[in-house]
Amino acid sequence: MSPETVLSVTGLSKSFRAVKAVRDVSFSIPRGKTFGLVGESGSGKSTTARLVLRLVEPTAGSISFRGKDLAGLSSGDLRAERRHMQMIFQDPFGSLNPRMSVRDTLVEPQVVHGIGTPAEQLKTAERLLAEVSMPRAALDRYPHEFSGGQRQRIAIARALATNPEMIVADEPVSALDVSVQAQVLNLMRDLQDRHGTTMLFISHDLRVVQFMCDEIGVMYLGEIVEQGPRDRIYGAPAHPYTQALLASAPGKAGGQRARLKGEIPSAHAVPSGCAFRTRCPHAFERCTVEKPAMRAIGGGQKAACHLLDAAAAA
Amino acid sequence: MTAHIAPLAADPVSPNIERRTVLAVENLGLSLRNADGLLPIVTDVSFSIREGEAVALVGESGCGKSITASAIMGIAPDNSVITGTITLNGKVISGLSPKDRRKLCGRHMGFIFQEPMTALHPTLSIGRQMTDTLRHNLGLGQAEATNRAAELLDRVGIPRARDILKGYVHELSGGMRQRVMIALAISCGPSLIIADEPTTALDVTIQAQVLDLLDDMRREMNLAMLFITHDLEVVGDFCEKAVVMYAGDVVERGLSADVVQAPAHPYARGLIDAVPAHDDGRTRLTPILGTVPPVGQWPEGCRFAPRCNRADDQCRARPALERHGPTDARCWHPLETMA
Ligand SMILES: Nc1ncnc2c1ncn2[C@@H]1O[C@H](COP(=O)(O)OP(=O)(O)O)[C@@H](O)[C@H]1O
Ligand SMILES: Nc1ncnc2c1ncn2[C@@H]1O[C@H](COP(=O)(O)OP(=O)(O)O)[C@@H](O)[C@H]1O
Ligand code: SF4
Ligand code: SF4
Ligand SMILES: [Mg+2]
Ligand SMILES: [Mg+2]
Repeated sequence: MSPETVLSVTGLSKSFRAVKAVRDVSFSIPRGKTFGLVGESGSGKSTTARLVLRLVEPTAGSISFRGKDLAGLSSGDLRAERRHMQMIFQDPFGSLNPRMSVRDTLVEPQVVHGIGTPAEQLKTAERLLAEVSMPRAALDRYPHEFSGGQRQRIAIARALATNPEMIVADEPVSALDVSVQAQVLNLMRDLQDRHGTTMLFISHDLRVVQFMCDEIGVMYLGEIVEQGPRDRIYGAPAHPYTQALLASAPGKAGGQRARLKGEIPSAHAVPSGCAFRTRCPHAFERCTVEKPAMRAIGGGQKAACHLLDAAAAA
Repeated sequence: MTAHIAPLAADPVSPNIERRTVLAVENLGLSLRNADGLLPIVTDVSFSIREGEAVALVGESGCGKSITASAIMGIAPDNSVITGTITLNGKVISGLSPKDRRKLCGRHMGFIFQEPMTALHPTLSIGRQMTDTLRHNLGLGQAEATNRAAELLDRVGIPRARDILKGYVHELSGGMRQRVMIALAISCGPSLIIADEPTTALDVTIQAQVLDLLDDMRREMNLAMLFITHDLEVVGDFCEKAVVMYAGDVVERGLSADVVQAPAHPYARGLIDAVPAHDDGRTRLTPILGTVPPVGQWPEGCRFAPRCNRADDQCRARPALERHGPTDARCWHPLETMA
């Protein structure tokens, strides 16, 4: 692993009883970059985030963070490592303690990780509030006194309180109206530029992912089916699922919506061969019996589809 | 027929055919009566929908879209005070008794909501809910109603319709529930469909399927459709006209192509600029500063003024909704448009 790689995930899988939520997922994120996960709901994005955060235990696979294998860490070391990996979720109400003032919300993570003196902790809290463009007067107020966008700003400030190397953001703007969503996205990019934070960014909104991410993994039924730099994924999608996803988005020229048949199958019963075959407009016999391998197709892009073998052979 | 709402520019779909107006909403206002008096929620909303036409009601949350729909459907909260006129198929319905209103609405209006679980009964089978509606509104017998229900489910793309009739809503996926809602909405042959954020909770792939289905239904049945959404990109694809709301007001109204591509109102422009575009590779977005003021805290004059970079002294007076270029906008200093 290169020293510039902050997070590296290899062969990560997670089953909840019969539900195969995440299957053999691998990716890595260089320092200061944002890796995005997109896909329909139920495709395993949040479970991947929770695995990376070690909120759930993987069934298989390894996670290396800052050069350390997270699975090998004692619970004490893992807690210490948490300082360097913080999170932001869709619903800041769920992640902010309603009975904690904004001051305590921003001071607490510093206390937990033993950062600074009480006076310094308070100073940091004030600086963080300013960084997310909230007035100092907010310190003495409580989460319910703020709008959704302001609560998300507070959640971002809290995530920054330990000066983490990496932030995992799961649908951070999905609950916000577009005008406020734009404010929060700008803020996240500014802070990332300023602090050089590495980011795992999850959204079902293709426009938001395109705006935020350097590299993107497209998930379907627990797997990454295509991965690559943003401009390749959006400009030259190679996997039929990525193509269908992009073509389904509203606002495409001429209102030509692609009709992807059916719905994502249950993670209880993943189809044999290529998991996408039940909805793929190009499926052929081989797709039922043989699982397509991930194949590099140049420019850092790779995808798992039998059609790419044919293209490579031709 | 009420026709003093100026017709918009030529109909892009069928320019030569005179289309009947199905719904006309004129100067609709809705206030809620509470201990302190009247709280205005919606003021002066006017638009009309012709047969076969989809009109979008767009805006961020809290601007009054759903409550406008509820006033049209006759299900506004009991403490509502409603002003203005609502006309359905040439008949003024805003003054009707709740009972007459319900009778008319069951037959002539169909509803589709964002969350079908709130509109569909959780413990009644899907078949029972559909046949009850068909029997009640169309006077069909049980066997006939069951056949018709199965046909409807089939028509909205639900496989194994007979089995699904015996099932319950919670057994279905979000997309399938929405199809059941659509089947119910069209079941009595309505002339108007009101769809309140029908695809907001769905994945883009399923959203595309449901929008296609609604579009097919509109064409096939020549339906007038009021389509409520916060997503301007959906509007451009799916609706002929758009009505943009902000803080209880209509701020812009016109053909959706004009509203989406060349809006005159700064709020409409702001909504468009705030969305990350598909391919522009910008490193910053252009947000609208601040937030939508809650009801009861609207500023005097132009309600958008505290967030508007064109605001000046004149904006302390309330602007009227007037024609500027191709669209109508409620603004003293509308943006220059190409037309
Ligand atoms: N704690 C859990 N127990 C059982 N199944 C789960 C659990 N968490 C997630 N799943 C299942 O795993 C799959 C992936 O879910 P998730 O990671 O939430 O997807 P996404 O975030 O892409 O919507 C889904 O089928 C979901 O129902
Ligand atoms: N029954 C009610 N009592 C009090 N306020 C209400 C009621 N229904 C809606 N409102 C208020 O009216 C405003 C408009 O609501 P709504 O029509 O639901 O907005 P939208 O659908 O555009 O998001 C909101 O500020 C909301 O809080
Ligand atoms: S492997 Fe077959 S089914 Fe899967 S995406 Fe490629 S063509 Fe479609
Ligand atoms: S009337 Fe004035 S404040 Fe209101 S939108 Fe127009 S320019 Fe802005
Ligand atoms: Mg999720
Ligand atoms: Mg609403």
